[in-house]
Amino acid sequence: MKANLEKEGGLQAVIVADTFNRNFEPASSCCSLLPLVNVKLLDYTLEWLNMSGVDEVILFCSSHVNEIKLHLKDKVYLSIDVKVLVSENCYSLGDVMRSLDGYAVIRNTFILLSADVIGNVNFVPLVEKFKSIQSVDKEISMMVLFKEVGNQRPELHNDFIVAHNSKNRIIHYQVQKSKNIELPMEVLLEQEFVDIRNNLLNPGLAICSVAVPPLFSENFDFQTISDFIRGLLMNEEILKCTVYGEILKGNQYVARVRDWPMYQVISQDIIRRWLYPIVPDLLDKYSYKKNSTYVNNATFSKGFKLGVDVVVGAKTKLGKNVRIDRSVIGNNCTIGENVVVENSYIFDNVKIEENCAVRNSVISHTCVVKRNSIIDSCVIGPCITLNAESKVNKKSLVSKKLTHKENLAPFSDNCYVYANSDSEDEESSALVTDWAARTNFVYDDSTSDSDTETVSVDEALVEDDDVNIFYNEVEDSLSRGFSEKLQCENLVLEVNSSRYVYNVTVSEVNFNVIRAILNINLSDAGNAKQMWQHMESKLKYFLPIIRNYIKDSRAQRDCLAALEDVTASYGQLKMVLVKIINYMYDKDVLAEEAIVAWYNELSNEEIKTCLLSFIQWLNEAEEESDEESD
Amino acid sequence: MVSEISESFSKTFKQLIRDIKMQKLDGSYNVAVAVVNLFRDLVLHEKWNTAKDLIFLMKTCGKLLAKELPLQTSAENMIRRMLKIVRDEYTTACNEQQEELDIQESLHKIVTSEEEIDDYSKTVAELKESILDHINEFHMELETSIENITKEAIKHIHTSEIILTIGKSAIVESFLKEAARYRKFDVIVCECSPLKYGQDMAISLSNSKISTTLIADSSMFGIMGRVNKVIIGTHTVMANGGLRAISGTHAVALAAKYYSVPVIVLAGLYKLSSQYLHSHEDNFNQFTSPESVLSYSEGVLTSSVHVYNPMFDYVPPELVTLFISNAGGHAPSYVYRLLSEMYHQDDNDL
Repeated sequence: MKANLEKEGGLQAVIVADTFNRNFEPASSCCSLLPLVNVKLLDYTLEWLNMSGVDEVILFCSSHVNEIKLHLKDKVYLSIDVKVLVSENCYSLGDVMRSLDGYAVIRNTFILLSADVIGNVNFVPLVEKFKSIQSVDKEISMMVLFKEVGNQRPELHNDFIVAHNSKNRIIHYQVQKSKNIELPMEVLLEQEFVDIRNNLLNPGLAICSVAVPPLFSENFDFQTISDFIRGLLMNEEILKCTVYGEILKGNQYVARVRDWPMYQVISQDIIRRWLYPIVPDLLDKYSYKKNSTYVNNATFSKGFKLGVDVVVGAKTKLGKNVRIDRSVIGNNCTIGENVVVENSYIFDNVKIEENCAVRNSVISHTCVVKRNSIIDSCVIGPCITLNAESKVNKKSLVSKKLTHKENLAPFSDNCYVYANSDSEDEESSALVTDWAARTNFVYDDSTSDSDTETVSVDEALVEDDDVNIFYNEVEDSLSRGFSEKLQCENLVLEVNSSRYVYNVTVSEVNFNVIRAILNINLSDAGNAKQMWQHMESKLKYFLPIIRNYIKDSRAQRDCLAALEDVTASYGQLKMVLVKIINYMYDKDVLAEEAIVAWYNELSNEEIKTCLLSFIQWLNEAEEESDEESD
Repeated sequence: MVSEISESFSKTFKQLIRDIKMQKLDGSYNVAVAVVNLFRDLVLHEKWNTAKDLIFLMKTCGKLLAKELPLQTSAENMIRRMLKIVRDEYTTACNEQQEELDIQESLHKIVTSEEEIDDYSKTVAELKESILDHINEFHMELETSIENITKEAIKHIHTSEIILTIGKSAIVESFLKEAARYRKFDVIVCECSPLKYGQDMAISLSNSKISTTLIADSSMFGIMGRVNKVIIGTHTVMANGGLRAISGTHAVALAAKYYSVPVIVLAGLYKLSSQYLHSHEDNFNQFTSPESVLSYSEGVLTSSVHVYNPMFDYVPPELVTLFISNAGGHAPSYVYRLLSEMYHQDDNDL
């Protein structure tokens, strides 16, 4: 088996060292060098590839190149060949694959992963499996590896649906937006056997054929592996490529350190040895004690108390009566007397003076926390000195030296409140609160109810994210067009391009366009007469656009649904609702069958009464026209 | 003169340590062979002039190896064996030289010469060659150790006996297969949950036409009354004759004691360690992934429960009846004697 691989020049693995996000700022700007249980993330990945039958590693960096190269220098114990490729202008995994195609270093089937993916999977049998499928199905381009995590762990973000057929081929893949699952009929009809899953974790790890980098080059809109899978499934006939999935069984663990909640979960998994044999006592000289505590050459003083899941790094000194629970303390740290550390991650060379309390926080390397401070739910960037008696709660702090950003709110001397970027301010603080909430979720059953609630709220927010952005864009361009009297054809083009950017469905487009038209300057109008004047001018102006989108009976239904939606949220519109519908009826936008059908299904009684006379008139008109035709 | 380890050697050395740690290289026999090969390279390629230099070099490496791989006792054992070889060869060579110079020995000379021998700093001609020869010989011994143990099989297994074993041990497997060539007997295999190596063992045995029964660990006590012999392998034989063996072995040994069934342990001499059990916590056991006890896909449960999945059991020497090594059969009380034969006392502390 192995000999077979060697004949073809060994098994290659491509590590993408960048994650193209800033999830771990300000604690670490380079994700691959972020310490996880006192070992750098990249080391976990290399260690894993070293033991799992890989012969050559191609490490693809686009930033922090020197730091990574320096770090690799003393990895002599690795028996794999690590090649560093640099390309400065990559902004996504897709870009990396495209420049990888340019370098032409891929000889055969290879493993694709990002530096934040850790695991203990042996690749040799999986690659063999890939090749045996390849001998039957020549079009296989990728085998995506999944880990089964159970469906009660919201923190693992198992928010996607995969459908497999009996040969493990992925025939449908979607990100789950709501509690309902939508499956196209052909998924069920064309296959004898379908396995539909939402309890899987997609760590972003795949075995790829040589055809994958060229495919990325041809389809420049593929940015991530998910894009790739969706793109291939959509254009299966054209691209002639198939994607397979493999669910890892037994002791095989993979996960992706994507954000702070994941960081916490994975740290705990490592401490509890799910990643065996990649565990602290085998990677480094830790000794494993009861209650999952790991100690490496640390100095303890009288009265110390270690709880469960604690890791204390080398040469760390703990003062008297120190209490540590569910935390990781880095190397060379000094912890003063009576300090309490709970559920926190403290990196190397940190000094915490006496009587401090650190809870639910991350303290990056070389920080100093002066005496009597209380830190809760914070992420503290490197090289910060916190004054004595300071109380920090739910903040990300960064030191001035290490950031290029201006206009940061000062917190204390040489220390600023970090904002990821202007608009994401809320998000980063939400992240910290989230962090604390998750903590409760994991350890405290009593709060779990409220927590599930928060999660579902989150879901609802995420649900129509793209559609909401799409709506905002449509409304912007339409109101601009209306005020500047632009050509309607150009507006249609604009709407269509936003539609492709956010990948919204046709009926969502119809719905949102009508909604946007109705909503423009809606609140300006005063009484019914003014409102109708205003509305009429709008409808007249936008008629070409309305005609362009509302063509068939389905679209008419969307249009009426939009009317209903806007009326429900803006009551005054009821006054002119009949006139709007009548106008559209006159202009042949809406057919009477559609209106009547919609009316019959209406649940909102107020709207129903508004429309009663109109519907009666419609019915009579219908009868009349029937008589006429007779 | 203090010798330095060359860079290329230190690189292969570190790679070997890492491979063993990460279980790329698995099984105590394979580890032992790899370590012997490594030290043969050290003798062959590194710079050293006297036995003292060589011993210093080997001890430096050995210390590191013992520190990095506290659980892989066979690696450490091999270093001690090799040090003993160097010391032996030096002593023999010195004695020969002396005999050539001066055949007549006086009491005075014996005393003075012994002091010199202890220092290991004399330059001895062809020391390298003789050490290499001896290491090669030892390598052969290692290779044939399994064969030598299996030769004993027909002396211990008799027709229509019922043999109980636990887990999967390469040596027990070939021992039973060898006996099956001459005799007909039944084997009961405990599945050795949660690692379940016993299942592989049962398949392998029944494939070679041995009548095999796989049982759950819990029914082991019930069935022990019918068993004639327990034959097991081990990871390490401790200095007091105790065992570090796959978890479940202690239960088997206790059940066997209750029913007075003899427990026979098969172990090559490379498994003989000079360590004693001093604590169950420090570097005695290895804890593997909890997956086989509680699956990760159980979801929420995994974050609220601590699962320990130890790999080894300690079996005290009084539960072992007989050791069979490549040097024949020994009682546990004889292990200390084997130790002093195989290792030099100065090497107990590396």
